[in-house]
Amino acid sequence: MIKYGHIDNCGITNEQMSLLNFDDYFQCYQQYDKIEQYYTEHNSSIWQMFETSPQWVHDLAKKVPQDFDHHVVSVINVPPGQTIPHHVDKHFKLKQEYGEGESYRYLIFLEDWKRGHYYEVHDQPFTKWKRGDWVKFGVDDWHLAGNMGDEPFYSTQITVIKNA
Amino acid sequence: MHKGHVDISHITEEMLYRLKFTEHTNTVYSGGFWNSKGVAVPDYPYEAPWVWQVFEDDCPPWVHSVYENFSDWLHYGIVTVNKLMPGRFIAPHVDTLYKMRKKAEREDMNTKGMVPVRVNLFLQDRLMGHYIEIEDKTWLDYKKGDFTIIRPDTVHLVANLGYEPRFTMQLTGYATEKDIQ
Repeated sequence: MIKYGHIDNCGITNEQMSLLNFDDYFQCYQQYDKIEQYYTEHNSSIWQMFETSPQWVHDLAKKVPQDFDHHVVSVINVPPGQTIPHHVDKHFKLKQEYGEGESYRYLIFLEDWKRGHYYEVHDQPFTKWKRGDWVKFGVDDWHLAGNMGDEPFYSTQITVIKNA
Repeated sequence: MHKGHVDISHITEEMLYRLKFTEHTNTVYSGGFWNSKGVAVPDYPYEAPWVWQVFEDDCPPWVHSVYENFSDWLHYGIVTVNKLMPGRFIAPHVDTLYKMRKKAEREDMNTKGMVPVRVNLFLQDRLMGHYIEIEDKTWLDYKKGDFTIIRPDTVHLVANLGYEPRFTMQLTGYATEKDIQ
């Protein structure tokens, strides 16, 4: 189940983006053999921050549909030339903290689409987004992202769970 | 974005996989694109902006025969096949069509009233993670045999973020404006 939406007046500025202070740079998960062969630490690494994200990121969680009991946030910066290869998110951290339930992720685009920025979920490509657009998808929805442009690709993830 | 289609159903996956690629081209400088924009060359990982290519005389006969689909309006055509491996991309750039222009000069071709153009022909249906972007427009549901026309002054990029090679053919030649409307 994939849903799309938009946060009106999300209030995110380019200055806020430039002030993000990422603390974690790591190689993306490789969930099957075909991916391992082509995606390495060199072409498949990203910056990410979690609970240390600034307040405006936490506030975004109040601006998506409130169909959940708990949530965690993160911000990702995909640098030019990097790919997050085909994968599914299992939301381990969320479930570890808040227990079992139905979990989803809201991916929120923090800037208008730029040349070379790319996202695809369930074979459905997504481009030309506007700042504040979001995509909601679940633990079984395979997706990927890449940055073939010359500017960083910023997004926020609000990962949510509704306990049974 | 110009979109067309030709029947290349006779081209099989085996034919694509048997192609011998003679050049492995690094595209990080994008043919001077970054320089022309006055920006630094992006700090792409070394192994990302590479494409395998086979040109003109090194292509097998079936590649040349594809040109017959275009020869009524694309003149003096030369052919290339590109193979973009997973995790690789050709960064934003404009085609200079340098080889074509040089060939026209060298062979004293009559190109009066025509402009140099490149046809980008898709040799496979679009696969997961395969991507093309021309002047900020994308084509995300193309089929084998679909083609687009890339003019020399248009910024474009291609990428393979999937796990299967991406094969395309480039037919470069001269055409009249009327024929490429």
